[in-house]
Parts: sequence; structure tokens; C-alpha cells
Amino acid sequence: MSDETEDRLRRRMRAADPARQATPSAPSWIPDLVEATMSTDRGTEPTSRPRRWAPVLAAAALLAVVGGGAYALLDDEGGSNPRATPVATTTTLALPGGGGGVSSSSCLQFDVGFLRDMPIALSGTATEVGSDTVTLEVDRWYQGGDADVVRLANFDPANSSLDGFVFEQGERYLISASDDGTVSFCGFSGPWTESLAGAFDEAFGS
Amino acid sequence: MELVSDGPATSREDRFTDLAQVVADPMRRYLVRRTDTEMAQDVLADAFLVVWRRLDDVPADDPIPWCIGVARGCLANARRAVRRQQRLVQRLSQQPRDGSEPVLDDTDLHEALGRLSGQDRELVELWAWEQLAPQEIAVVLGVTPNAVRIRLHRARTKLAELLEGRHGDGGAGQEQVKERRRR
Repeated sequence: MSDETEDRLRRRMRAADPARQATPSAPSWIPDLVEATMSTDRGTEPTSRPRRWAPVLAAAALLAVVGGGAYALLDDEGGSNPRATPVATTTTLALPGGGGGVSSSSCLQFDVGFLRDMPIALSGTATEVGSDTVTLEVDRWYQGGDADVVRLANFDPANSSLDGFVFEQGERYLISASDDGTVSFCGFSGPWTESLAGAFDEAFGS
Repeated sequence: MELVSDGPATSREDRFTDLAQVVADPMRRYLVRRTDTEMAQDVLADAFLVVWRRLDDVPADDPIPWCIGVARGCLANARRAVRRQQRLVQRLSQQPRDGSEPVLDDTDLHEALGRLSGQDRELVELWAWEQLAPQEIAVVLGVTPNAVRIRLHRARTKLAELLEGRHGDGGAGQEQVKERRRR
């Protein structure tokens, strides 16, 4: 493309810029927004916290991210298959050793500070629950990804019921996971509830 | 990385206030270009909260692309929430607000942009509206500058061809070209 064509294209785009006219009415809108932001957050400002013990993880589930790739999908593209993505990558992450059930006595007390350290966090609805996989349609990423669909693989089917919760089709869940893709249980993931969602909001900044 | 300050150690509030002067309007414009006013306002508030909480992560030398990246993520989340609501409550009689892009005055351009892939459209808009350099677009999208350069070049070429009517269906495309020249 010649420079001239490129300039012409850029000028045409800029002439059609929707932000050209839309200016905020209040001249103090930036300080107002700053103040509103800081007062929303007063009392939950992150402070340095001591390193915690790693929670006991149910090692059976790992997280494989489907789709997303280099760019995020903002809308479902290619209507017939909403899961189709231009760059489909499936990330398979390491499965830590272990197995065996997790009893509540081996869990740490729930702590928002620890939740905040989780590099992967999302909420989604289970669209498919197989014998050893669960497919979640993501409705919100708190941290660590942008795919519309996420799959959980359970390599230890004998332990498909963990912490008293099972995956059921049509139900919504909050999931946090560590760097190696291990889904955390012990209360750091679970069925969606107001209080758990509130903890996720607090941990990851709405 | 901390924000550069040339005085004594500034408080977090001061750093955030200073940063807001730099990034608030670019973030607002980014959102206004991509969704309706109401969603833009809500998402801007969400994004500002994230920036406040992650203030220490904001790059000191070029904060705008990073903050636009935050706004982008918050917008995607807001759209997902709307879609989920739509699935739960099927109000077929109403036209639900789905946070879709504003319609441009330049209808040919609007249509041509609509025919690009989501990725191509996003690249062209960040280049033309946000006026970001390839390495800055790379920060927004979380990819390499090289990938941006290659893809952006192709996207611009595609858009230019669409606007010239070359992507019409055979004869109809030719008709389109003649029609445009006559105007």
C-alpha cells in the first residue's frame, strides 16, 4: 500500500471517528471519576501480605484453554459454531502428581489475599459435563485469559466429586487456577454464589 | 514499575490522580468508539478501578496502551455479561442493548469495517482512531510488534480493497466501482 493510500485510509477512518463529537459535558469529569474510583475501593486497598502456605489442591483437574490465541474474540464469530476461533490453540498444562480425595480438614481457611495470587480466575456456565471433562462457557474473566470457552479435564475420575461440589450442566461456577493449570478447590473454586463472587471481585478488582 | 515523580515520594492517590490526567480521555474515547454511551460509562468505571488496584503495574513511560488494554478486557467482560443475561431472560419483544459498536456516519466505511474479521477490524481501528504505533498496539493486544505489523498491513489492504469495491461478487463488484465513480 502506498503512503498516499494509507494516508487516505487513515483520514477517512478519522473522519468517521465516533469519538469526534462525544465529549463529556462536565469539565471536572476526570477528577470526579478519580474520586469515585478511590472511594469505591476504600478499605480494600491491597497491602503487602505475608507469603502463605500453598493450599492443598485436588490434583485431579487441570485447565485447558480452548481458543483465544493471539487475539481475543469480542463477539462470537462465524455464527454456526460459536466456539470457532480464528486462532485455535489448546493449551495443555502440567498435571501435578497426586489424587486421592481432599477432606475439608486439609484445606486452608479461605483468604481473599490468597485468591488474589491465583493467575487464572473466571466464571462460567457448564455447557457439557462428561465423565472426565467439563466445558465451561466463560461469562467473565477476572484474570489470566480471554477465551470464550474453557475446558477442564479430570484425569482422576474416581475423584470427580471434590469438596462437596460436582459439576452440573447449566450451572454456573467460579474457577481459580494456578500457573500450571491446576484448578484450585478448597473453597477457591465452586458453584457461583454472591459471597464467592464478592470475594473474586475483591481479589481481582471487579 | 512505579510512576516517575520528581518530588518527594508521592502518595498512591497522587500518582493515580496524575495518571488519570494522561489516560482517562484516551480510555473514554476507546470505549465510545466501540459501544453505546451507557456501557462505555460503566466499563470506564470498571476499568478505572482495575487501574487503581494495579497502579504499580502501569508502565511509567507509556501508560496509555496498557490502560487501553485494561479497558478492552473490561469491555469484553461487559459484553459477556450482557450475552449471558440475554440467554437467561429471553425478552424477544424488546431490543436488548448488546453493547455493539456505534453506527458510523460514513455508511460505506461502516459496512466495509463490518466485513473485516474481528481481529482485522480491531487492528485498523487502533491504528486509525487510537493512533497507536505497532509496538503500542502490541501492548494492548498482548502480542509481538512484528505480528502486529504483518497483520495490520494485511488488514489495511483488505479494508482499502473493500472500500474500492474490489471484493464485490464478480460483475456486481464492477458495477459498484462504476457506481462510485459516477457519484
